Amino acid sequence: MSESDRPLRYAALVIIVLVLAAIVLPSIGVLNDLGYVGAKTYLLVLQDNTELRNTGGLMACVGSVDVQNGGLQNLKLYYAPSNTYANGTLSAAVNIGGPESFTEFYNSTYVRFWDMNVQYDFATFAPLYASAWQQLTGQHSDGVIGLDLTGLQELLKATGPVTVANETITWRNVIDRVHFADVAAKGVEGEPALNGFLGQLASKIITAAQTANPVGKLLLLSTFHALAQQQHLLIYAPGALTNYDGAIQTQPGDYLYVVDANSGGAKADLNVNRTITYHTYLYDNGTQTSNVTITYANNCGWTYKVFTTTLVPNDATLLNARYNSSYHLGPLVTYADNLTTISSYVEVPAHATANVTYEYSLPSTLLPAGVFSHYDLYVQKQAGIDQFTLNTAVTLPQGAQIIHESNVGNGIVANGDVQVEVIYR
Amino acid sequence: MRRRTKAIAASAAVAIAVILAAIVLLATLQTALTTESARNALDPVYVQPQPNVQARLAQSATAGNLTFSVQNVMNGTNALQVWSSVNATNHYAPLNPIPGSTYAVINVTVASAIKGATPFSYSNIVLVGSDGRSYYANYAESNASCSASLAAAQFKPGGACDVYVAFSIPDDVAPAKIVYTASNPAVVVNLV
Repeated sequence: MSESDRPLRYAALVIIVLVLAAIVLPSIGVLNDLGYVGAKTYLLVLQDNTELRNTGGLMACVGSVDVQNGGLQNLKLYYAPSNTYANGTLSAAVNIGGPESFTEFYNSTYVRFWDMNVQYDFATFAPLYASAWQQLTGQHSDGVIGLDLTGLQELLKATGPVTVANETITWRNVIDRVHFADVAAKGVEGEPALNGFLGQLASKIITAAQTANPVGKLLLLSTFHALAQQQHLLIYAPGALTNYDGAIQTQPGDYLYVVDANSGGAKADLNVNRTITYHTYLYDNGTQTSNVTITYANNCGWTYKVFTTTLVPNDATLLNARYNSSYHLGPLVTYADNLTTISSYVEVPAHATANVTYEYSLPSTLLPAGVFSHYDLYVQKQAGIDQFTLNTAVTLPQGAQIIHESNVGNGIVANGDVQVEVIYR
Repeated sequence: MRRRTKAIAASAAVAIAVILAAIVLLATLQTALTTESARNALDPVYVQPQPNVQARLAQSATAGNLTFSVQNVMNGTNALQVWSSVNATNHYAPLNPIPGSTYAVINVTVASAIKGATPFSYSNIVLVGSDGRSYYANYAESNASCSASLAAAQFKPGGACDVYVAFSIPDDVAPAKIVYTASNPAVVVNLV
């Protein structure tokens, strides 16, 4: 290497060091925030997504865990309705203050603590939950982690079977065993045995993860990532992780987010298939009208009851609502998070289908795209739902020609958010 | 000039080799992950316990302190009916099976074969599928008179129970054996 190359070599070295620093330094910050360096306390909530709620499922178990230098310590779980975490002396009624669709429909701003996940997303719920928890128990927390039963299933697929209290728990029986512990088995003082069962199950899964071979550990990491993408695992860790909190994805363009809460329909939701059919008509002046139909196919032997809210772009005007169901209430139009919300209560008889259709107008949602027109629709999947079927159709202004389209058509089975795109001229 | 050209060529060769090695490594890793994922997600392979006593459907087998007899194997579509008929409170019943699966419900008569108390837990009953895999209890129930025994996981002297256990099995799998693993010897009931 000649003398003249030396500055080049130094420059390359400096660039490599800077790139490594840019990668490593933020990682250290994230690790610190998560408790890999130092200590953090996270609140936990197991959401039973067989009984869907807005943020993913009925709050079955609540508790906390300390993360210290990457290790999990002091795992505490409580059966959510027992109120023992509040020493049984404090009222567990919580003033939720919103969302308006809920408070107006149910005519109350107070809910039981374990019913408080009525917000449209986990990111909004988590700080309220942490605040209410601190009020009830005095315990401060640095974040909130939510997991649902599908998440438990997938984790057991990754670890393989574990033994809890002499029972073999596999991905195939875990949901039923959780329900057994919730409803039928009794622990100390006649309380449901759910928290004890889940505490042991969590310990076994953690041990299986810690003792897994490198491939097993990578598989678990990959499972965690997939669960987070599909919003079965939700992490609210302000300042550390920002993409795992299930926040409403408001962005320019058209938007559709259906949020359902099982309202007295029992543990039915893994056997209720949802289909969202969306058809929008784009006009020359840039405005549009849209039809969205939400269809529920109830495969259970009992009536499914759902309070459903559809979030669409701000300034939408509801033109019409049609129901094909045995019983319904609504529609109720409210506004939240710079979005328009349309809510209804719908009942779906056993082994039958029902649907609700909203027709609404929108100001222009087109995006600038040079000489072309660009229509984007972001369809957000609700946390806790395994999958839904999406049918989309876009009718262009008269004479317009399609340049490109993606995710337009029928029968898209989605286990995550879907981006629909149409470019035309 | 020529030396620099050679150096650049050597650097390019090293870079290509590193990229190729990374691609091979990633592909290997992906394959290992897929294999591990598929292996763990499968239900456990059945290994017949030794020693064991063999029986057929509706035939009693006594093993250690227990007499065990599989009376019936039912299609899971009747699971709710079965539960309604045996469970007075009916607050806990099988829901729908997970997609791609069905419930197989077995009716087992279990009795204490000795004068003392006999331990028994339905979680030690394993259904072996026609695919050679082991399936574990999703739900269990007994008729009202012996539900206390089921909860306490033991029979009083002379106690006997009709126990119903629901197993989630894949749609394309048929029950082949029912095995009670906690007795010595184990009881293996052949269904086919």
